[in-house]
Amino acid sequence: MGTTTCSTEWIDALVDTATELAHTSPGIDEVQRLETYDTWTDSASGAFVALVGEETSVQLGITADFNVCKKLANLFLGMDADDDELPREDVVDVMGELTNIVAGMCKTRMAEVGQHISLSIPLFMEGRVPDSDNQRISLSKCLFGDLPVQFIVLQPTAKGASNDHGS
Amino acid sequence: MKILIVNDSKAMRMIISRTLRQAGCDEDFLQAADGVEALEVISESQPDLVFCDWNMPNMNGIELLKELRSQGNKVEFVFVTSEGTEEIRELAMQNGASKVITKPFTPDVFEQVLLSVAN
Repeated sequence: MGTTTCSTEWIDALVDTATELAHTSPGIDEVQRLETYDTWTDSASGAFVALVGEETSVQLGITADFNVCKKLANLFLGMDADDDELPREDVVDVMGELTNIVAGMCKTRMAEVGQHISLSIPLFMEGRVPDSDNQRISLSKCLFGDLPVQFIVLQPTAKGASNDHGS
Repeated sequence: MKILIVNDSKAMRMIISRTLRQAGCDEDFLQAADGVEALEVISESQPDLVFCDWNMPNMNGIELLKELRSQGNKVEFVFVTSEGTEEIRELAMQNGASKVITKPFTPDVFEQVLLSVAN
């Protein structure tokens, strides 16, 4: 997988690794794919991690409605999904960690085919990234257990990549 | 057995603590949020075993391990990381780590480490 790899392959890798993660997480058995889009759909909250290497530049994200993020964080911490006590900063922390784990698993897969890349620290965002000619998006709506989440891949377009090199 | 968990994510420290309890370890765990804080805790409390993240601010996991070994500290040191590449495993082991646990993990992996250290 590299710069030329289409977003679909990244989405596949993202969903596959999230499925592996689900198998070891309490209260989440599987990831079910629903529909894939090439544009932002709903405004949401979630974390993004950048994977950057000589042949690769991509951002992987997991987003959802904040209340869903909270349920996901509760489950990941081994609590009841509807527990209301988890503070906001812990929800942000868990979403970042979830995305970091999935991105790390994607990195390991890429290392197996000889690509050396680095991971950024997770960044939490709310809302949506503005549409831009400089990047393309692939967004897959999924059920993570029974929770509706979005797996997102952001990649620079040729225009975005040339802008990067020129800066 | 005194165990130190080093991770900049509070959530991850909670998850590792829970997993260690599931693995049969009924202790209160020492905690640190980065390598600098870990050096202080290690100096004060002298743990038997350290579970440490790879990527952290201030001082990352491999820098912490190198610093400990340069001080002659031989504490059992296990990395817990989402980056399970061969390159990272080799670097960890070359610098004196006992094991690299890759996230996501299950309690049995921690159980093996606990048994190994206890023996």
